[in-house]
Amino acid sequence: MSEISQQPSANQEWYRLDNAATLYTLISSSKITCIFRIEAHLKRTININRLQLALDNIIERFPYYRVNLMPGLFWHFWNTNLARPRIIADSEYPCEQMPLTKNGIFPFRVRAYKSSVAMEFHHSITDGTGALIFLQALLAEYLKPKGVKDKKKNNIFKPGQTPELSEYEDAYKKYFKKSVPSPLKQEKVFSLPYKLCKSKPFCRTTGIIELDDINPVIKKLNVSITEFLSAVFLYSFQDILFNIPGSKRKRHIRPIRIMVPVNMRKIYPSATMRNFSLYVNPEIDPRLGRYSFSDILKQVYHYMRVEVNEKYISKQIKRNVRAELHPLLRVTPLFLKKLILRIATTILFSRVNNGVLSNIGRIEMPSAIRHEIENFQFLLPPSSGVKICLAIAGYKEKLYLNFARIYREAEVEKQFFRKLVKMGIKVKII
Amino acid sequence: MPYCSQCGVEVEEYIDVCPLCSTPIHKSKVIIDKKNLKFPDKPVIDKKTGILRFLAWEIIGVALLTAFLIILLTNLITDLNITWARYPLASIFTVWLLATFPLLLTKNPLLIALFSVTTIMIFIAFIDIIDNWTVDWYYYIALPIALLLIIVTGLVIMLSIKVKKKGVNIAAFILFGTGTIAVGLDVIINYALSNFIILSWSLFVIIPILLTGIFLLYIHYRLMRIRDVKKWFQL
Repeated sequence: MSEISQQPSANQEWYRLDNAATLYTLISSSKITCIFRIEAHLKRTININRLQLALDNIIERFPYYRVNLMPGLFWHFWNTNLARPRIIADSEYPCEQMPLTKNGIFPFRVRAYKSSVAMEFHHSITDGTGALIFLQALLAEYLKPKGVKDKKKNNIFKPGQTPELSEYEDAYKKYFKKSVPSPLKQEKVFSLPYKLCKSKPFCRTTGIIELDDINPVIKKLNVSITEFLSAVFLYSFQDILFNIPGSKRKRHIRPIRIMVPVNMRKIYPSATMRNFSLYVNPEIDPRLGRYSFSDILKQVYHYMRVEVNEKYISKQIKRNVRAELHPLLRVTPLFLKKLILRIATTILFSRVNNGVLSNIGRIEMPSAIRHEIENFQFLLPPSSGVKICLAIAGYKEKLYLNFARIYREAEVEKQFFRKLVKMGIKVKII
Repeated sequence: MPYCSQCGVEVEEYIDVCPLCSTPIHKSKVIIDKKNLKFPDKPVIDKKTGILRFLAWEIIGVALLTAFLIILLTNLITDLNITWARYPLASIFTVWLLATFPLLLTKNPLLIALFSVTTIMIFIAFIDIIDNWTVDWYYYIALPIALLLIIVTGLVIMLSIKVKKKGVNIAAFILFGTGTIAVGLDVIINYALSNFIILSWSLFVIIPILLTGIFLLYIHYRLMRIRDVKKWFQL
């Protein structure tokens, strides 16, 4: 374990990238930006000066995000970046590529427009959990009532607190077990017969569902929201496949698989604020015949129970970390690593998933400022590898579903929302 | 709330076709309220900063105009002609131009530098010309000195911005720049006075400046190498 015990700590001028960061920084490009976004829509117009002040105050609490990616001879490393992150104007095309290795660039952006604040994080620095904690802290600081203290204890990070050492932890290496076997290689999936949209980076469709509408349905079926929506997602792909005329379908018929990120902090005890998420891949194989919705739901429900546990997830940690620790790869110069990994990613990871479904969960804010926030939305941009993403966030009594696709047609969203409407769940598209 | 007859989903008031299936949405005509668009067409510009810049330009302008008029009228009343006032009036006008470029016309530092340099060069030429309406010292003293100052300052600024690690190396660059200006001044003045290119007093300036600058660079890059070696070669 000696080779993997170099954990980053506070007061360090630089530190090593964790396993996910290594991968994301090497594969990051204009087509795979590796950026995700959480936005908060407030009830009142943003005061940019006050928001900047809040960011200046809160950034001290997150020293592990106050970094700049620098290239070394063999690996990238995070260098402490004491510059001041600036609020920038929002854009119609969010999640654009970040010039990460440029001097003074932070691996995150805070964007604002009218009444919305958006955090765009590069996946190399953290996952949804870390980004959400940062945004919650920023909003709490921005919206804190003047002279009134919220006496209720909450988990919101505040300026002036000292970051725990455990927040810097490289949790992948901590829970890496050498003896565990790697997971099996995945078969290629059904490729959607649609052209890609070239006029803009991606198209976004937002749907809103009332929790009062969806809760009775999932309670009746005895599944979680993520399991239910994953099943609807798979069902939509299956509908598209079976809408292809019989003779053509033969060419297309292959398994349908989606990626569902898992917050590893719920499986392994870790308080890391860096990346600590992996994926599970519920799938159906239409070559065995057409599945009914309840068949798919059953498949997803049991799959999640089998796969989302310490034993199965440890296989993925083994696969990812093992590659990073390989002596030959370690002594390969960085520019060669980049080249090799980009080619390998294109060959190995293209067409292994039809889409991503990520549910960040129900977001809670302190009662004193809860009424100031209209909603939270989560957005995952698609890439050349995963061409459609569904990101879900819940706030108050609503669920916000954001589809982002690089296909020209909105067929998946159409099938997805139509299925929900058929099941009696009202959907509003904004 | 309007909804799509095909998909069954509700849509916003201002939507004409369903975002999912492109079916036309039947509804009473609603004017699209541009205020409700989700994203800006252009990046948000802090309008307040623009107003403040204009106000600063206006105050400077009024102050300079007051001084301009006082000098002009004093000269006209006493001499019934514009004589000595030509120099302060040209200076005031130059200051007004120098303030106008960054405050009103452009924020691009390169353009500001270009405008400012051109203005100053024209101003110096004007000062040379207005005493007897001939060019005396502009070409062989003012122009070479001004060019030397501009080129050396520009190089020092560019180098200081370009270097990745900033520290005492910036002080070394400034020292080298000062040394070059000293040597240049020496050459230009001697050539203007005696038509010979010779170095006199600048030798006593350039030698200590060179040695100090090299020492500062050595300290900077030696220390930086010790600090960087570990992260650069991490395996």
